Amino acid sequence: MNLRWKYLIKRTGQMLLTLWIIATILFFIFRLMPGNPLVAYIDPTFTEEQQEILMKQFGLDKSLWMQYIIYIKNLFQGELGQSFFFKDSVINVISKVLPNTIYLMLTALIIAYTAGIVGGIFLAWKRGEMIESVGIVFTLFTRAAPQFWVGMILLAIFSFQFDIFPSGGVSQAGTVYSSELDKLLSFQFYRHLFLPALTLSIYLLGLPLLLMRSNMLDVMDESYVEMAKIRGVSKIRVLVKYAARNAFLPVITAMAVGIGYAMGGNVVIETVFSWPGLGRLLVKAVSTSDYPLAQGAFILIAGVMVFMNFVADILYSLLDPRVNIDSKR
Amino acid sequence: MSLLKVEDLKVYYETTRGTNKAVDGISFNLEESQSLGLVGESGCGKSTTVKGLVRVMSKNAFIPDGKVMFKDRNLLDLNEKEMNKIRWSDISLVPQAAMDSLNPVYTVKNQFLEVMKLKGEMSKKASLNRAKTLFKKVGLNEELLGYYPHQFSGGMKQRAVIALALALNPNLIITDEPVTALDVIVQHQILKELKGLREELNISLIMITHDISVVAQTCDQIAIMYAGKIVEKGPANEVLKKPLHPYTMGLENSFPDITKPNKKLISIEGSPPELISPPAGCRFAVRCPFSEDICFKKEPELIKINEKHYSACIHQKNLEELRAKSREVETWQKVVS
Amino acid sequence: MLKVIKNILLQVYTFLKNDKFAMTGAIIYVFFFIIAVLAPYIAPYNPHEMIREGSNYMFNQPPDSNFILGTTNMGRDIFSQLIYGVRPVLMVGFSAAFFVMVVGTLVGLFSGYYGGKTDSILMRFTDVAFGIPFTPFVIVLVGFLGPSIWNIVMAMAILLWRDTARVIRSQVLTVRERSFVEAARVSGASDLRIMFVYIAPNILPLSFLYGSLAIGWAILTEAAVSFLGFGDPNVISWGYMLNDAYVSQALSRGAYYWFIPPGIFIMLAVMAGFYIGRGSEEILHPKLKEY
Repeated sequence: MNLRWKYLIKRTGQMLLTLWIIATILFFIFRLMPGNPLVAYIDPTFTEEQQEILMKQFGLDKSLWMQYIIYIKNLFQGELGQSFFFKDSVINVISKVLPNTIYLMLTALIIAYTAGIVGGIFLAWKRGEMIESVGIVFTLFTRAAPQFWVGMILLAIFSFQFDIFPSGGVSQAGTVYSSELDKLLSFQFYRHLFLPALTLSIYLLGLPLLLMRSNMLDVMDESYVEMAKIRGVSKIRVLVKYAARNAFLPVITAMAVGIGYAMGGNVVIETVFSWPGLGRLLVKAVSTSDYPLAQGAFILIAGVMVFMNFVADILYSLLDPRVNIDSKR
Repeated sequence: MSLLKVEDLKVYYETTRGTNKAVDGISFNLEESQSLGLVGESGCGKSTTVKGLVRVMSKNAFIPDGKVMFKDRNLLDLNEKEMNKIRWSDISLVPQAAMDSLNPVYTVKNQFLEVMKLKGEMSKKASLNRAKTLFKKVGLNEELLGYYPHQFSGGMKQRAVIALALALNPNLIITDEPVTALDVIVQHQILKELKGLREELNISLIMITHDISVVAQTCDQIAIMYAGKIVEKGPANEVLKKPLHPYTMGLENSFPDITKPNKKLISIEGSPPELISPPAGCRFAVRCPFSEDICFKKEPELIKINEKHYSACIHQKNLEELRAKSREVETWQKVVS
Repeated sequence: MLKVIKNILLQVYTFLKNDKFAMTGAIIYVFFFIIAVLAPYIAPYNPHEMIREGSNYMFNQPPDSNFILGTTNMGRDIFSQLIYGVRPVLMVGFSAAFFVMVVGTLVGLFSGYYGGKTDSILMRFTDVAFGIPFTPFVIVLVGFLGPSIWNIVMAMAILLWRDTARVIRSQVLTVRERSFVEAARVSGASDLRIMFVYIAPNILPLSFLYGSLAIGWAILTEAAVSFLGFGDPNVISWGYMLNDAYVSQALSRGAYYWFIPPGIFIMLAVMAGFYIGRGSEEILHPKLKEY
């Protein structure tokens, strides 16, 4: 028990340190960029005075150190500044699109991890048969194919050629959902969600599938699996209740890491499908030199990733039987 | 009537270097409510024999020949479904690594109920009662049923696994090195309980072990295995007191005997041959202190020496002299040089 | 030194010879290298050229005998773009992999050899690198530094060394305990000498393998960055072609001949990297801790 707490505290400390270093690196990247960070914001017709007022407003008249301290303080308070482009607070802009990213991500994760676990069991079951090699090669293809390209192909076929699914966005042109609930209850929304979620899940599929397969093969060598067979437990039952049940815990742990990955992978897929989410927002912020927004979006994505790595590590230690022994009693 | 009759059973492994003839034509007989000890060094094919009997083998293993007659049915002819009916209801197993033979993510109770549900028509409540009775029988508190395997000590786990083997009241239990991993005191207790249970419940037993002193305590019959073959078999008393095969004599020297506390322990030098291309002649010849030229050329058959006692060795005269010699350290040491 | 290099090449060669996967990957790269070198002879047109026939621009031509894969909406030959596209892709892939190898190996070596404080500091940096989302980071950096191939390579090199560093470190931890290292230490060799003369040759094959995995990731990332429009506008890479196709409505026109081939080429190049980088093993048996 004591050991476990120590680990948790140590790991939490490491996570906070990592977050702080990332935030610092980010600060310097954005501050030390060539050119005036307000360049995109300042209209050429602005007078010197107006420019100075703006500089003051954004705190850019202070020394770099002061700016850094203010930045860290603001971060702690969840204050991410003003977006140049949207003329609104970064928090507001982000919170408008964040739900879309979460819907997309969760749907894709659920599909990918369900399919991956089932597929991994299947491939382990078919060990040594032709179908196993085919499955593995196919999985390798899904990892090597650029996600946006997969998205483009799906769009060309299912949207433009056969017109089954819409080509992008979250709603039909001209319609607006009155609330998040309205959106979630609308059939239209799911039609829009389908292709991007499918694309993202193809991208995410490889890790759980291959992980499940190799875990299964390891577990199948365990003597309790052999004993189950000797007890006359049927092959399917051995596969599911004995091998899969033991093999899938680490895969669930990997799902935490998968969330972090999906946040990063979203950037490209959201752009292909014009999905108004965090990833697309980041791309837009970068291309319009809206650095407070880019910084905010990036910090959020990085924060989720670091946190999910932390969660995965903690789960991993919880599932490790050696750590398990003294706690369950 | 014989319960189990194994005839010329062969179990081979296909490996990249060739076919490994791990079990190469063994025959033995087990009468109802009798017990048989199958004894030999590790790698002699004992465990492979068990896996062949219940037909749970690794993918590269196959049975090219032989018969396993159980209650007058050849198990090798049954399909997977019919075989599954026999497994555990008629033949159950106490495996070598009892520690790892329980699924770590389920409670012991859960695994009890699973076998009973799979096989019997017993209600859940009756099953649970039976599990409790069996736990008491093997000397475990019934509360322990709800525990996870990793919460058990080695001896407790071994008892739980024995209870699990008794779950469906089988005719035959096979135990594979049942006490090897345990300390001597627990070993002794468990062997005693096993013997008692067997007599009480009228169950036949095959006990696989490398330790000849273990079978001395528990078995009626003994078969000695070496390099995939049975080299000697007969009633336990006969085999232990008047061994016919030099290998058996060697084995007896290498384990302590409770009745002879001053006995010197002598080990057999060398190691068993590899079985992908076994040597011609007697497979034990290289390690045998009494081997002659002919031993390296002609493979001796397992023949009846007296009423119930068989041996596969050409030395059937002057046995008393050989036995006496075999008790001396020098006899075995000169083999290696 | 020459002997060391020869030794390493020999090890790489025997590895390739014994591993069908790796061999396949190597063959794919040789194939791409030949295309890259011979591009001017294979490609029928200049990839930037807006082709005219008489006074008509050849916009949006479907594939025919003249244009094997048709033309873009600006009248450029798609097949020629595909052929020339090999060059930047290989350049990005290999240079990024080179940096990844060098940085990852150095970090792993120092971390594993010195242990203690050095190790914790370097490994904390590795944690940080693992915490930074890769594609977004490259986009942000390239977006603000300006779109050029070298900025893309640099952005990738800053993060991608993380896997290599972890693996090399754990390898160094075991090599460090071997008797020849002990012997060198007893004979008074300096730390640097032990690290680079005695330990490094034992781990270099591993860094080569991780380097080739990095080729795959680098190619994928370059494609994504170019697709998002942050690529070098003067360089035609496969990612650029896909971006071009996407923004020019090739999807709605069903111009599959335009956007399918570059994707297949990217996929092949990435697979080749995976295959060589002992992809077969690392990818088929992913260990949770590596991610």
